[in-house]
Amino acid sequence: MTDRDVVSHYLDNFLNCPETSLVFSGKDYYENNKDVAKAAMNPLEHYLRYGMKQERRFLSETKCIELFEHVDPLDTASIADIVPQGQKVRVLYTTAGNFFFQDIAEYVAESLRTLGWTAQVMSDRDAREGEKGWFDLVVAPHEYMLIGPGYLWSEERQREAAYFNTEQWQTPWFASCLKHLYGSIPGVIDLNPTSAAAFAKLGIRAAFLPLVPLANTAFQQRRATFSKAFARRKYVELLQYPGDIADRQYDVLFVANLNPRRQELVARIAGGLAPLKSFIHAPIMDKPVKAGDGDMLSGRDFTQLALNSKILLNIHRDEIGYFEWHRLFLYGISNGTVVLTEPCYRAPLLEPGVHYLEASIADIPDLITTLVSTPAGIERLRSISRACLKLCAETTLSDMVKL
Amino acid sequence: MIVREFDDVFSSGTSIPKITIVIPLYNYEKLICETLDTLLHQTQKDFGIVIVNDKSTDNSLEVAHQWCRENAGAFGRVRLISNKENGGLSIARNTGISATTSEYIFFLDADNMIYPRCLDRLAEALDASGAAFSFSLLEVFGGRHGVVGTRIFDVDILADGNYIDAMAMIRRSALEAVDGYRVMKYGWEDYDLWLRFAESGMTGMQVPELLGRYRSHAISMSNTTTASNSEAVKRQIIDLHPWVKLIATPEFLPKGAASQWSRISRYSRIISRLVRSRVHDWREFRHMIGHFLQTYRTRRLRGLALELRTLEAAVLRQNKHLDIKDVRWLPQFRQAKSQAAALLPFGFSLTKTPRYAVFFHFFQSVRLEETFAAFSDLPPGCDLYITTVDEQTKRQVMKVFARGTGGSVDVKAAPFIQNGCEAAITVFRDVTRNYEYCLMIHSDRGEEGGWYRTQRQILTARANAGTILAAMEADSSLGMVAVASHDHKTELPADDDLRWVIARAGLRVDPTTQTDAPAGSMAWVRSAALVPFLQAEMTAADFSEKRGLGTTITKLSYLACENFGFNWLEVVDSLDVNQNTEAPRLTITDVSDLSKAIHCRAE
Repeated sequence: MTDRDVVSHYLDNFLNCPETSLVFSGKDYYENNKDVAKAAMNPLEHYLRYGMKQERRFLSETKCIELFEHVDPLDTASIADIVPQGQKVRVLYTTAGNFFFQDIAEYVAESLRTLGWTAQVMSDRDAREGEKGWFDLVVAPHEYMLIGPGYLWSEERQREAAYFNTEQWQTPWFASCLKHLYGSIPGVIDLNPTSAAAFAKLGIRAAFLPLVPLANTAFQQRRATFSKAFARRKYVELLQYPGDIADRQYDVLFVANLNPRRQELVARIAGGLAPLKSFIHAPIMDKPVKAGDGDMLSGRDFTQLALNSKILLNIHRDEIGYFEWHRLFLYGISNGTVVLTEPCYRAPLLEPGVHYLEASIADIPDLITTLVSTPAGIERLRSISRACLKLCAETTLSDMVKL
Repeated sequence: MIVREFDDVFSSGTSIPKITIVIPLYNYEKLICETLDTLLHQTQKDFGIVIVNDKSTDNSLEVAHQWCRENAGAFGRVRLISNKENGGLSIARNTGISATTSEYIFFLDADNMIYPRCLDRLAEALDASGAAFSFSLLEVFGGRHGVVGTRIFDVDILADGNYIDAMAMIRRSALEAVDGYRVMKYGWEDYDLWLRFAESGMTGMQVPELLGRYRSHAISMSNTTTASNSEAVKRQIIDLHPWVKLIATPEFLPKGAASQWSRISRYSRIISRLVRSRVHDWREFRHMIGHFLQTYRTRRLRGLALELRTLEAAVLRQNKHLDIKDVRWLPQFRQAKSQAAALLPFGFSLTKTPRYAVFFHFFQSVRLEETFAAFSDLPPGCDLYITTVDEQTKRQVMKVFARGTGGSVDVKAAPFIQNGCEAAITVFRDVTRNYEYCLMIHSDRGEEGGWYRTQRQILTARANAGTILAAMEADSSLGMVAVASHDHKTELPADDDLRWVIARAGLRVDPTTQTDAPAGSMAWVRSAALVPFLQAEMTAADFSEKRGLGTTITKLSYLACENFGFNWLEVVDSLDVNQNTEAPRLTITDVSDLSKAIHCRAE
């Protein structure tokens, strides 16, 4: 059978066919797009003809979970596969978007420089944005290609650029930029190891670039004064920065956007958290966060809290167990704070039980209590914290990426 | 502070603790003990309790009395008082405040609970700060599971609605400063209190821990806001604190339509806000929402269209189809003083370079380059505000204009806009106010050349534009300058849409008389002359399906100009090969010549 035959067979028999796609399921597409189901149009055909342009939800969550569970986080392309060595790299971001992506863009450029490239950050306000002779690496394509100037680019330029993906697959933002990731000739760099490995399964060349506490970037982790404006509205104790993790003043630190899943789960473990000294920064947001918002916890303040907390608690956004590298590695592990998370997909270099702890929501309250209030628990915190700090001290960025 | 007379039912201890918990109690015989028991396990031991029975009709008083007798020994001070008359939540809390002298007062509803570290942590936060009150995250239990109190005390966030429960520790001094809880007929006493704190410049401190449990069930005191009085409670809050952004059902809707309204307002807060700020009757509302739907054809709004039909049916059933409010018509357009046109360019020039805005509407992209060239010819100081028919044209415009014209450029796709004047008073309303002078022009959708093009060329030629600005600078009574045309007298279309615009702008115009103003819709304008239109706060959606209304609006602007004491001026130029007017030409060499050419109503 030719490819064409396979496709036409699928189109004719889609409801009875085994769902062979790795991420698409006609049934789930119907589930997520009830109007298509009502019209009884073939879901794949609908997606290819209209859904992709309309940026509809098309990824099947169950299929993604299945895919992510079976990928090897080390099975990715190398950075040099995506960004040819010797190229002058222009790392692009849009000023119209989330403030956070400027930090990411600056980090990406700095890390490329550390790894031997010539790289420069340019925003959409920079006059050199369209100059020839540069290799384009677009940070957060879901913003740059939609609300930034990317949509003005010729198709050729869109294809010739590489993209730095920051979004989880089940989100609408990811759906909105997937066509660019698919179309890219050089490929994709992802800040999540699972996501990078899964791209390969879809035939998209992708590499993993971890966020590490690199000097001269917003992600450098170091002691600094806590922002006064933030502490005026939210009660923050005088931070002590003790040497021993057992003396850190906050037992549990939880930082997240409180979506309905997290709300429900936090409520379920509230009784377990209540006896402990916790710091819960989890505003329920209905608008994108801007720098200067009263309710925004800056990366710098997050670091200060992490340096004074024993445990960094992680609850996934959805049922998908991403290792949320940014939160877990950067703020948790690299500050020697013990990460306790719902079960995650594996990340390179990190061993559950050695560098972080995993537990189901039901087990989390008891585990926290044991960790902070028994001698054996405290010893465990110390050993994990030491293992994390040792790993970070001995590992450089080039050890962590494929070049 | 409004309080009730009360009877002392139980009293023990004589100490004056720093913290007192005030518990208003009304018909919670089944839950009050569970609530009170959580006080036994507090890590903070030095606190008092005041239970205020608000004339419960069940056994609450007896149950609480029994609990006090059994447990009072564990606390420094316990008081159970009973109001002689039922007063409601606010008065019960105020009575509780009056029954203690503690510095910090923690309010606990009789069905909620607190975790052991609650008082300790909240008091610590107050000790360490100057905040008026401290509050924490609360676990929601019972009917649903969740978390509340997740955001900091912030005036902007509070304006959107309440997210801080009454379970907070408040300084006595702060409570006294605002005279305690206000009696709110329909509820939301706590929200009102936070808003009054905000208005007095006081703040709250969030303690980022889970310290209390909020019971979610149908009859919780703070949950008394049922569908039937939710509108009333919102309206009460809006009346007391006009700065909040809550949305109440518009008053023009009949009672039967409130539930349909609440379903609609869920769809889009944008709609609700538009409605709240500007719409006064059903017809206007229907009109506006209809155009909103056309403008934003998205899947999400399909449901809204359905709901809207239901709402409309409800309105019609109630026979409340309202007519546009009466407009008092006054005779306008008397004979103009002068019929002369001033010959461009004038013989004097600008003394300083002003910043001015050009509002331009693009129908199509074919003459992009030509238009770009025209703008490049304008005198320095020009910022461009462009609307386009669609996103595609917008992109093309952005591409071409990215080369720069010396000033800022802002492009917006606004399909219903017809010309620069509409753009200036709708999508760019807020920027228009910032400029003293504006140029309003648009592209022609028709044939090559023609009247539109001539007008545009005359008004944008550098020498002409410079001297027009110089004239406006020299004569502050000069409101508008337009190209002279021979068909001055145009009848304003006597339709409802026009009446609507006139009513909205508050103009005194008789729409049945003829206008005496140049044809066409391009002009240099002093933005002060546009004030009535800017204040009308119209949106692009108001202009859909109203082809040509923009031209009418430009015409009305000559009237507005006169109403506000400004004059206007017609100009001609040798460029105008068709010689669109036979008016006598005046050569202007000096400011004093202007008065000879100026059009204004003859008294």
